[in-house]
Amino acid sequence: MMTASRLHPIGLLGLQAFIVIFSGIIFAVMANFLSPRGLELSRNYFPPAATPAIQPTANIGAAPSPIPTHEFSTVTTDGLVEMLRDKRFVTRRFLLIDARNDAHFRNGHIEGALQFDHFQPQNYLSAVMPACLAAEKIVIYCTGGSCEDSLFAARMLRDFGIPADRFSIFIEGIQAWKDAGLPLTLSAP
Amino acid sequence: MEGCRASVDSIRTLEIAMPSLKIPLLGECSLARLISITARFALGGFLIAMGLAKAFAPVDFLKLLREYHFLSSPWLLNATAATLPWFEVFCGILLLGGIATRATSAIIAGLFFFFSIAIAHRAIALQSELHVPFCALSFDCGCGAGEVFVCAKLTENLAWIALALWLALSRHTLGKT
Repeated sequence: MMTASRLHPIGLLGLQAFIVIFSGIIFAVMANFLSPRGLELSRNYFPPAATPAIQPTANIGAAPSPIPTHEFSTVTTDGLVEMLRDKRFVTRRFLLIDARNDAHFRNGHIEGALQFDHFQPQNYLSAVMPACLAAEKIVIYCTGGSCEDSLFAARMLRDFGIPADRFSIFIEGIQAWKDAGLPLTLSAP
Repeated sequence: MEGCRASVDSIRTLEIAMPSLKIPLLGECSLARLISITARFALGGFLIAMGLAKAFAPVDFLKLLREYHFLSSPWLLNATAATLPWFEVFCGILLLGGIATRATSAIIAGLFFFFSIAIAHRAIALQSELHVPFCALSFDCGCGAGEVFVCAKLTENLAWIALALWLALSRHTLGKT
């Protein structure tokens, strides 16, 4: 039987590299499994559109738009301001959902918004699902620009049984809201 | 020679403070060996820092990894985002501990080479969209340090590759291999 010391140096290096890679993968899989922030390997965190996606209108010759394609209707900043003034927003017939993570939500969100981070749905579904089932219109937003979290959150809620036609996306996102000088609410950690 | 001896003494102090770190005894005080140990600690420390930054925010890393469009399967994308940061941490620990130093350094050199190709590929795609000079382009490459300028990042990676290759091939490399 050939011992490690009799191996050619390159062969020994290869054998050690194989052992390092193999044990490194085992370590990494275990660490991800044990980490409270670990990812679920079998889940699709970026669900595709169920119907053909809508490409936002762009001027010919303009630089490619960072706005992602999607299958939902959209709301502008003015439209959202109008919606928030409607008394149906107070009675939760109109619902606003913030699809960003905890840190972003705590640092400032639109007043009255419920949080739903689709990467950690188990933390929010108990509050968000009953509200969505009772609402007639649901507006979801995230950061804006190329942010797609609002789309993925809407798709996930749709897959949980909320009718797709209730959803609208505030595609300009919180950045446009801030740029318009509109107020944000902070929340305690 | 005095400076060299002082460096050895500081390594001895580190060994006493952290007994789990097994730094092999130096038979002779050679500058090359000290450089080798320093390189191991620098590369190992860098890998642990960058790996932990990604491992503690796996969702952010997953989103950034997706933007490279290398992995179309959700399972492969998740598996890469979930394991790559911890694999870097593992390699960093091996380097700090002086375990399988040559093999680990060779693997790291290969990983950094692949990362550099991926970053350059994405930067070229972004450049054609944004119409800015290559070296003026900055984006979050998912490397663990936030937004970086492409040319600076590629230069940094080349330096790490050179260091890792030197550790893998140099006769001065110390460790358990």
